[in-house]
Amino acid sequence: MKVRTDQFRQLSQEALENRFIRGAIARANVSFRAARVAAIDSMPDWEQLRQQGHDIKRRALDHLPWALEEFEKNLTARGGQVHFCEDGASARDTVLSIVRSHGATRVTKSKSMATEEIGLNPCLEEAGVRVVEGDLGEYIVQLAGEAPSHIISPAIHKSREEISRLLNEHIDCPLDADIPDMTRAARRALRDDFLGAEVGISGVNFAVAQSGTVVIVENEGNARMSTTIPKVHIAVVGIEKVVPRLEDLSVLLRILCRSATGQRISSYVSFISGPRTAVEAEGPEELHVVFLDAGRSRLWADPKTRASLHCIRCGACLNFCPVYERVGGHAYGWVYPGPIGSVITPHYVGIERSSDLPQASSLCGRCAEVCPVKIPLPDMLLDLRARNVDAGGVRATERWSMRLFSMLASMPVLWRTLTFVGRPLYRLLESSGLAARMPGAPGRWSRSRALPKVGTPSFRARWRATDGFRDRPGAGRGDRRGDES
Amino acid sequence: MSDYRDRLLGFLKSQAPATRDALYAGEVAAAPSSSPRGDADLRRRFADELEAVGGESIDLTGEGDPSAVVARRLAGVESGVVAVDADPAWSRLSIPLRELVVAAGLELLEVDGTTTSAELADVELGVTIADAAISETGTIAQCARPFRPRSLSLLPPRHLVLVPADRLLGGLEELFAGVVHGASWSGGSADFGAYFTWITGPSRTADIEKTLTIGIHGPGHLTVLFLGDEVDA
Repeated sequence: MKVRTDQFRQLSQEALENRFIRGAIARANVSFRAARVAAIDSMPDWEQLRQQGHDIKRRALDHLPWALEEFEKNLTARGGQVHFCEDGASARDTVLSIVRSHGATRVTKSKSMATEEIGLNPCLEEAGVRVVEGDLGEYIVQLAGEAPSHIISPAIHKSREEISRLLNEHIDCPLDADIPDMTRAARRALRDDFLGAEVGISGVNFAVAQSGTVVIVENEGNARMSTTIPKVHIAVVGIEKVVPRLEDLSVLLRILCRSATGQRISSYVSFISGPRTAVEAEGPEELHVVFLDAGRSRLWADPKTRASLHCIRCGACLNFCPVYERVGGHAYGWVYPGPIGSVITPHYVGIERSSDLPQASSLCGRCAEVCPVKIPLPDMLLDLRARNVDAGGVRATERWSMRLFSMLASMPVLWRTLTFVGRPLYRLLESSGLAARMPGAPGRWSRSRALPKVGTPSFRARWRATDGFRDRPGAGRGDRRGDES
Repeated sequence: MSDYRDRLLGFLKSQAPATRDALYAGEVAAAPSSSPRGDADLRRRFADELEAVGGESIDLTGEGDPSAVVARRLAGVESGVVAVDADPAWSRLSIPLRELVVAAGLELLEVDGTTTSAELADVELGVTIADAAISETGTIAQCARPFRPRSLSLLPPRHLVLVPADRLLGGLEELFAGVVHGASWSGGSADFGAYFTWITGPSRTADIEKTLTIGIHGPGHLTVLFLGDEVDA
């Protein structure tokens, strides 16, 4: 996929000015969050589950080469074929050569972020293969010629009106169709594609080492279509998705489904351990699992970044991120948006091209609190910021203003004097709306933002009066649940 | 490609423990405290969970005539083909499905190891027997078998599933333990075949403005019947 991470400022500014996108994503996030909270309330052992999920992923990654080898051995024993690809180009070549070896011209796909990452669709289309996305959201963004904007809800940035125009243009669907009608129209249109496809391509949620099983979690049934009807199934999967045992899935499925959509379990979970057996007339004759490295082994080798490979792609960190909620997924400029995107994208596409991504966070910490496998996302963002500074990727104005700030903050007398004089001036700026009319950077900054409120009384005064806030027991961050309600 | 396989695994092994021993060493997590326990609780919880996601669950373990209930479901199908799997377990159940389908004025397709997806594409109702059911989530589980094509539970717009009550399990742990240790429902071996599916409620999507819509690619109607021991021959 085309990398536009260096355009974060421009893309996010455009998104901020788009009222529909801001409203739609905010509404979606409220509903995602409510569903997740309800699902977790029904699971009193949630924190224990998160720890177990973390431990399982950690054990798998600690033994990654062994887990991959075991998976390969066990799947191969059942007639599956396993490929290892160094980068996107070799993964594309691998998939394309399988498709070509069957003379296939029709492919259906189920949702897969890994195939977005390697830009598989354009490559197949260039080779004359008709590729149809089966997931409704992916189908919509495919018709629109766009990329998904959310890990699990790809078309979240589009309104029903936009979608009905799009469907009307491409398939048999009236312009005034309501959502159930649009869904039925897509069902009818995609049926023919599923039944006629020669190759099905899917992503993978978990690859189980001990049994050589590919696990796919979905709600629509499109992944089942793409992995059942065509005579060839190709599963594209990052090397970090391998987990040790089937029994580990009871924890992983619980935390994935609850974190992603608030479901106890998704409508369908498919466990595929090989091509069809000799006694079946249905199911793929060939199963190929294409493992993708594309930078993952580098993240794995660095102790500071390995935990980012724990990610099970639930999307919860997006749904709780105040920055994602305002700028949407496309602003991040590549495949993975939100906090996890800001953490892994720079390592995949280059820190120098994506220096704004780790800055796109208030470090509020919600992402780490909700992450079902306990990835320390804020720490990783800070690490990336540090790497960026070390690489000289900080602009002179920022560097100098930070130096000035640090000088003032370390000289109490000067600080007190300046804040004493500055407070009334700042209040005037705030109440008069003058800031937004100022020329240059201050004006640009203020036009789409509210100025931060000045504390009354000042932090220092409150600190003195309360003996370092010690007279307020329990004063601190709100309870997590309370925050969400 | 195989060249990269060796390079990758070599690189990873240079920085990983020297043996695979600890890969499978971790303790298997115990079932959470919220998992259902006890037969009646299991069936109640299954029904609650399935109904919460838009499926229908009918408990015939106590009273109720399974044949009459199946006949009523068939009456809901206006026309078309009813496809039924050839599960050997049918012989244990005293439900005369063939007669019921004919009586409802519908066509019967008895599937076997030669049935293809194309044949199933025009079926209105798929009737299957579950290998196992999970109470915790309202889920039914089915392995691919020669007598049960993979898409019989996928292509028809309606799916009717029969579950002998002794196949109802508590939580996900029980199911995985059954698979790994070879429970009777998984064919008595530590093997669920090449394809194993869990189904929880009808097919659904919320991809347009987060609005829940039932019945996208898979069946929009899912009914699960629990059958008690007394129906066994």
